[in-house]
Amino acid sequence: MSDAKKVITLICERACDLSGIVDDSGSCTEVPGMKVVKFPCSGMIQPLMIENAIKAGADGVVVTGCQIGDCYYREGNRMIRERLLGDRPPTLKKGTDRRRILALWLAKPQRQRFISESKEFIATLNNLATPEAK
Amino acid sequence: MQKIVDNHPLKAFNGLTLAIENAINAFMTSKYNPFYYHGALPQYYLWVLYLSGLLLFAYYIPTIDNAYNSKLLTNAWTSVDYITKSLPFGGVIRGIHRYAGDAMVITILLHALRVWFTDRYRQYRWLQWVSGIVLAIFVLFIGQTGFYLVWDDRSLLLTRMTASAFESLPVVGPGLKTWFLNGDQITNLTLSNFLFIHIGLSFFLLFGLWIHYLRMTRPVLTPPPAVNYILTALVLVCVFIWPLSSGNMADLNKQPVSFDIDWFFLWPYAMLSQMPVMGYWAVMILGTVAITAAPWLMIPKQPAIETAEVVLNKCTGCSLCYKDCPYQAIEMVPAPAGSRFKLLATVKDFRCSGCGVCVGACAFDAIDLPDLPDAEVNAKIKALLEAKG
Amino acid sequence: MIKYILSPKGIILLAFAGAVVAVSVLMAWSELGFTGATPDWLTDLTSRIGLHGAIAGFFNSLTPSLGEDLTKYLQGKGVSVNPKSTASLGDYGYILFMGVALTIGGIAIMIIGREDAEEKTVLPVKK
Ligand code: SF4
Ligand code: SF4
Repeated sequence: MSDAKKVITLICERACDLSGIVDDSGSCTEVPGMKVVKFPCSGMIQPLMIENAIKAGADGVVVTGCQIGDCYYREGNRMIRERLLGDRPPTLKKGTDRRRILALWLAKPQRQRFISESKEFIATLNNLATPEAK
Repeated sequence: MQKIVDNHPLKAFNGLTLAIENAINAFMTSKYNPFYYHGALPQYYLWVLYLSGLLLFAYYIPTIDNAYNSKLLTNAWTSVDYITKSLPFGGVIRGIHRYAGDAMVITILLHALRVWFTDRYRQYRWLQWVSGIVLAIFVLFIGQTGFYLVWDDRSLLLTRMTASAFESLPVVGPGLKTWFLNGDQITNLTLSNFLFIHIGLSFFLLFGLWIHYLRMTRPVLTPPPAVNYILTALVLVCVFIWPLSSGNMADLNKQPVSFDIDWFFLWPYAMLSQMPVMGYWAVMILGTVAITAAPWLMIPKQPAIETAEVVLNKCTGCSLCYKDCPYQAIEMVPAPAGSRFKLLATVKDFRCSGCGVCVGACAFDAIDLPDLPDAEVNAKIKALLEAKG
Repeated sequence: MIKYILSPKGIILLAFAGAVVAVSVLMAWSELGFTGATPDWLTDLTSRIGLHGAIAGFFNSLTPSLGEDLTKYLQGKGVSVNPKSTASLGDYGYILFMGVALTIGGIAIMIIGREDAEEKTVLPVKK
């Protein structure tokens, strides 16, 4: 068995509350292999950052914002969702492996949902037999 | 970046709001959660009010008597009576107009409480907060004039209470009373004035809303149709359950003493009847000032927002950040002479929320939040991935 | 399509659609003043397709039960209409059933629409 998949979570600090399950070094204690980077708003996340993370060796990237409709800054989560789906520039590059990206839209109290979805996502990553050229 | 204020006085309510919304999401999903359209709810009821009001306006006669046609008394009360009892669907339309007004007050309250509890009312949003309060006061006053217009006992009592409350104010009092009654006493002209205030101010609301929506890129103006159906249905069902009827026709020679209170619009009159008039004004004026100043009173030391900064020699003038900024805080200006590009993004600091959406929009790393530059974010991502464990 | 209609969701939606139609029929009945007194053009139209007797009979059969109840409720609430005018207590019934139909319709649309509302976005893999 290869060692645990490396997954990086780019998360809005107002979305799903991870305080208490993320240690000082940015590792999530509930989901093995997951690192967390916080943003003021998920709208700040650039598709480029996701690509960089994959280039730097991440097996997967989880983008997390608030419930669609409830962005503290009005539209940030819609923006990044549209960017991920390719409907709003800048978008992901063509060659980016989209199977390695998951976006979750979870409100502050939905920590359990975050954990279960991430674990499921990591399981699908394990099933991606041949990693495409990164 | 704007700092999350951890000691916000309403933090507990924020948790409550989120818990309620979470419960609603569980069966309605975020797409239909009315709380995610809280600002659009009163706006929808405003359209309902305009339409139903237009139909009522067609049959309404703004006079208290008709001295020229004494055989057949025609006045505001009889015209409302005609609308209610003889016009097909007249009573129903009148009911819709009333309950849509009540619903508008409720939804405005929800809207205000939500932005307050979720801490979305201060700093770069101050204009929305202050204009919202002005709008709410106008809505209240417009609604009250609606209660005068039907010209039954209650209308007469309310008119007299208002006139004497105005009159008791120093300096401006007598002038206000004359303006309100359109003369020194209640005459036919008084009701024309009420109708003018009722309709004129309603259209003024549109101007107020324009200010309310300023700086909001792509304001959410309508809930999804399914939510609209339910909003409409709520009003219709109320019209059936509590059908409206007028009181007796107002008689200027009598002084009515008690009335039913509509708690959405007429609560100020309930207060006024319970306290001395100067006390009433003091409470109303101080209360309004306090609520208007809430953004500054609640959190006296608001940490300054770290506003976005454009990296001058990287910006290509592509306008993507300008299109995506949710607060219209970016302006595209002509690039300085010698630049390879035509335009340059500039941030209007007083509008910027520090959200970073512009950072996400820029494909050239040309705009940054000073306390979290994207180079730093990328470095952090890299470091985390290289770390063991 | 057929498969969708026969799925549990499809059956629920069919039930909702049926309910909306049923309530809309009650709207028509209310508008006639809680009776089967159809206007001439409708009488003519329904007679031509041979349905007039059935419709009027059904409508009239509601009058002593539901019609009576609604009338009593409204009168108890102080609603009165000018008998010489074309206004009727049925207007209020109409608005009630319209409200009920809109509610059922709104809920049905939410059931259909909630498919594309998500808390999760999986990116489509491009070929
Ligand atoms: S998105 Fe970037 S490059 Fe384009 S105008 Fe804005 S700052 Fe300049
Ligand atoms: S998008 Fe950029 S400029 Fe606009 S409010 Fe957010 S941080 Fe400020």
